[in-house]
Amino acid sequence: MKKNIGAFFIFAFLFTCSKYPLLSELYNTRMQLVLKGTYESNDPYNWNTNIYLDDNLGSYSPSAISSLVAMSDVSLYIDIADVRLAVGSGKPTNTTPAEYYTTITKDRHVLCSSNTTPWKYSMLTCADQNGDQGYADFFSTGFTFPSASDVPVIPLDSKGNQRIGLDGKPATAYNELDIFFRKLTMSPAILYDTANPGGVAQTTQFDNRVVNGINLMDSGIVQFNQSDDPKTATPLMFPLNRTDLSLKIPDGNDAYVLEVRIFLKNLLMKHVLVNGSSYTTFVGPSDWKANHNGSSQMGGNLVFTARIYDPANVGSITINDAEALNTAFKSYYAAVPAGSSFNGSDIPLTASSRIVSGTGTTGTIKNLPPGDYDIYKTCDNTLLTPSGASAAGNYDGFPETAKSCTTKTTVTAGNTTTIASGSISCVCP
Amino acid sequence: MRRVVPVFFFLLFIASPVFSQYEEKDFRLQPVLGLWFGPIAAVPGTELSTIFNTSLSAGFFARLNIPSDNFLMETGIFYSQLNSDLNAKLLTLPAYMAAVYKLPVDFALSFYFKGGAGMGFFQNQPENHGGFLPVFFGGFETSFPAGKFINIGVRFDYFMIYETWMNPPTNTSNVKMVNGHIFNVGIMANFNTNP
Repeated sequence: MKKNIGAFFIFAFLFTCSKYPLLSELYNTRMQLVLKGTYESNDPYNWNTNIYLDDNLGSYSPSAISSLVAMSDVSLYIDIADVRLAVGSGKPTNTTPAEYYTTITKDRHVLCSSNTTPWKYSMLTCADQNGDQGYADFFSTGFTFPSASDVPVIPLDSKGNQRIGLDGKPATAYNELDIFFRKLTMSPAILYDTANPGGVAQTTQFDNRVVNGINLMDSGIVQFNQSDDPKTATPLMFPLNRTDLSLKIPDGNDAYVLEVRIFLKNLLMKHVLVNGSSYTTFVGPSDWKANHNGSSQMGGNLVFTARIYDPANVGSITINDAEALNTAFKSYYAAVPAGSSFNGSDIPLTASSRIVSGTGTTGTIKNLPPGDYDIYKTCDNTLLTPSGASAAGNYDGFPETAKSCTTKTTVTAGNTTTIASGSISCVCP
Repeated sequence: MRRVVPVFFFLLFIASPVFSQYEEKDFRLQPVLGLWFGPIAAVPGTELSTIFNTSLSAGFFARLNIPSDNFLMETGIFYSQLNSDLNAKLLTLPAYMAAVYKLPVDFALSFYFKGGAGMGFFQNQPENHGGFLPVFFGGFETSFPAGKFINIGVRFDYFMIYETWMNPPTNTSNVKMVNGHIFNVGIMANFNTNP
């Protein structure tokens, strides 16, 4: 009997040698977290020459308030603390953030339009993290945010139990994604008052240095309040979040991409803050959704979406379109899962720019998981917010008009589905 | 001359061990049982150190003397839960056997150098995969007697968790197989069971 027990332990040792690479599983990250500052999921447009102007600027003097701002004069300094996932039920007040959120990033990261201040001081974190390169990537192909290697496939709580979703059942997908901005600094910001009728540049701190601009997170501008009513002030939009996503992490060992698109590129607008007889112009997201009229509170205008795909299992749709590109406003091709409602008041799952091709345009929407998609054309030819005297030709940068092009276009992995020119008739109004 | 020879043999005879006061004891087993606890961390600069924070560990060991002046045998086990800032956790439960070399110096402190190998049970979170992996062990210990039964000391252990013998998961690219390198420092109490 004793011999048998000894033999049992020896065999148990030999045959229970782990099937899994236990440490390598922790070290290797499957997730590639890609942040994009664009409406398009691939092939974004270049920056506009000038940023948009708020429609109320012309009613203030001096006239410099309503002057155009060239994109080449605009600087953005973005400091992202972390990105988190959650089931979307809302954080109960009796739990800690660690118990509710699954944090998927290791460290904060900065994106800087330049690694030096206007006075040529080096910004250390920007320089360390190649903030200028990250900034360029963020607004083109996507910035890969260093992600944690240990994101649970299904939402787990801190004790390792499966979380309960909104429907009361164990959750299998993450519905909530939160982006915690530490700073969102944009320049130029110019103060005009009786002492400075010619305007004086406003400065703020970023990365322990003085830079031009104002930080939209702490300037008193409730820029990121995501309520539909911009006047419901507290708190600041911190984090920027959505709870209606259905992010399902694929099981297995394959790498996957979590693509997060925050629409900032070609949505920037010059606004003014009115404080008695002093006026401060600043750069912020367009007030396409919640109108801004000089007050210190504005919000609801920053939108994002997120999706997960397996880069080894995607296809593309190429659209050929007879409609010529109207360069007065932006228009895009968008693809959303077949049957899902899409009305243009949010940003679509995927989108691409329209490229002039002959008399019409073409565009390819890439990285689509196999399935059926509805194709839309989205056009920025309406000003959704109440409009006064428009200083910028009635455009706000956000393509609110969605015209259906085709339905149920099938995508298969590794292939490009082509929609022939003439077979669609979606024309921007 | 003829008398000298028997006297010489007589002297030789009485000088033999049979008549001497022979103080040396027979070899006698002197097992030592010990407990220790202290901080544990991944070796700085290694892959695991990018994941885990320092945490606590505690262990138990048993040491036997063998018929040798300087060498002993040790076997031990310890438990720890390595935690990270985010979601990763690693339950570690390695068991080892080691040869111990006692530094032959006549000093109040004893110095021991150890080397050995064993198997460890590990369970990772959030994957929640568990299993045994081979471990290699090296250690240093210094202790002093605090009375007849108890020795007090500190120990420094290093464990290499060997994983690169495994094949990387199939249909995956860019997976880097890594070994674990962890070390702990512990204060300990040894109990001489047969002093």
